Amino acid sequence: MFNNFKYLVREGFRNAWANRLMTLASVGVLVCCLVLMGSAILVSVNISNIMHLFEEKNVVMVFLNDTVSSSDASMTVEDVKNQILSVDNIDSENIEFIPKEKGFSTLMSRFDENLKIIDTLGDTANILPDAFRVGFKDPTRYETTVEQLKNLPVVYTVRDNREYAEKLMGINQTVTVVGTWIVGLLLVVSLFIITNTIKLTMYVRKLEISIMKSVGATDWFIRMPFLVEGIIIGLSAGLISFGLVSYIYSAAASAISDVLATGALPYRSMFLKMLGAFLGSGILSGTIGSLVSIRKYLRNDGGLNDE
Amino acid sequence: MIEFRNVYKTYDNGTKALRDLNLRVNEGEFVFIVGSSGAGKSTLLKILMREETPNSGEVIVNNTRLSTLRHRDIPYYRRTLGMVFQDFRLIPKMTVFDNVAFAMRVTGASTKAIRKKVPYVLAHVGLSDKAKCYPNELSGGEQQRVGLARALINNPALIIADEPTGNVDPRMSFEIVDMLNQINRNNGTTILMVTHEHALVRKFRRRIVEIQNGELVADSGPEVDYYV
Repeated sequence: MFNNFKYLVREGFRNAWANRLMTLASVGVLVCCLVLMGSAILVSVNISNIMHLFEEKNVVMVFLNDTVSSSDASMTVEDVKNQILSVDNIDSENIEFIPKEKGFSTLMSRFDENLKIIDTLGDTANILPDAFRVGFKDPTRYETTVEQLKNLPVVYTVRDNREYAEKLMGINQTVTVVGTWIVGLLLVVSLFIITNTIKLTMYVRKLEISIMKSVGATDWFIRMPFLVEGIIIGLSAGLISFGLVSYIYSAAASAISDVLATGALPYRSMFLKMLGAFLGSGILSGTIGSLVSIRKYLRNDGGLNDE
Repeated sequence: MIEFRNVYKTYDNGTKALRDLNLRVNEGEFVFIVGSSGAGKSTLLKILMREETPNSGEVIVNNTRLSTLRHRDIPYYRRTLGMVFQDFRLIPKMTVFDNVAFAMRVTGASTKAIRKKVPYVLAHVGLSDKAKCYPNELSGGEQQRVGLARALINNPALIIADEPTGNVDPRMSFEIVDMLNQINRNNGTTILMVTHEHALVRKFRRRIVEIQNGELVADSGPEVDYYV
């Protein structure tokens, strides 16, 4: 059986080579489809990652004007905390002091390993002020409470995540919806092209198939070379689009980290998953394409005259 | 070996191809099937190949009841048959060797077995020196001998030849039928040959079955003497 397997795989390569123009066209369309799909997934993954970095919607970061944690501070942490709690609508159960060192190390941990070099600069690099993480009792009064907090003399600024989060959520939804439609459409197109590529091979090899049938070839024996052809198309498209998306992502990620404090997820963490996804969906579409196109030929029992 | 019992076949377009056909062919017989075109000969062969199924009646070949044969068992049934076609049905881009090997490969035979068996069968049909040729480098007679070698490669108990001499010149025609005759005499292989050429039929004096309008109109009778 192994002999046969080798033979059938070789036949598949021969098929792909014999109509290489169509093979190239199929690979091309499938690459477009996979690149778009991969990009949409990556954007979506990054957005939900950023969303996770934000706390719940009714929690804000209150940054302080003065350093309160150092020994020479004019106010103690308790003093400031009491000031904040004096504002109406603050949840006294949900208030936490975040000294600048902790804030800095949390921030650093979100960056790539390479940025750890900043650690060597020590305290001088830490330009973050001390902060409080503050939760609200009633989220509907969010805006007025934020205003009240901002008016406290001790407060430097309040990081208001709400607007930001809503915008991102909107982007994420748009990307998901538009991405799904485009990918769906392209998937249909690429399946159509793969199917036709293999149908063309099949048309060229019609005589061979009918002879195969008349000498007693099983359906799987007939199917195998076409399946291999489909998988070759899918696999090449998967590899090419993986390379393209990896390149685009790395370029985009470095551009984004210049603008966005949170930065993009490092590609390394997703490398294997993405490779698997690309190869998997490539092979899947190749397989479906070839099986669909040969089904018609195998359905009838003919061998003599199936013109 | 072959039994047709009250076989009716009507195609979807209303053509009545076979009407109550009854035919019994014993193991080791050589049967010529004659009749004008459209008489139902092709339908008879298609039913034997299990490309078509009768509307009613029963066909049994080599102890296989064709009406109950499942789709996935059809290939295994066909491996027990050897087919020879009027248009040879050789693959143009394959050598003579590969064309014959092809039929063996389909059955899952190993390369080793193929290398051993194909030259033997090619020698049997007198084409040893043509193994590396391509079909278009051969005469009609030689091409049909390749077809014959391919039909023989899996040791079938039954060979079905559909006008094997239709595209071969008369002198070569005799040779082809003589070869089939020899195979039948030496190996006991049952042979069913559809033909138009009455000269050949008369020359070889084997069993003759005539079909007209889907009905069996004449049968020279089983070759009982063969076993005596």
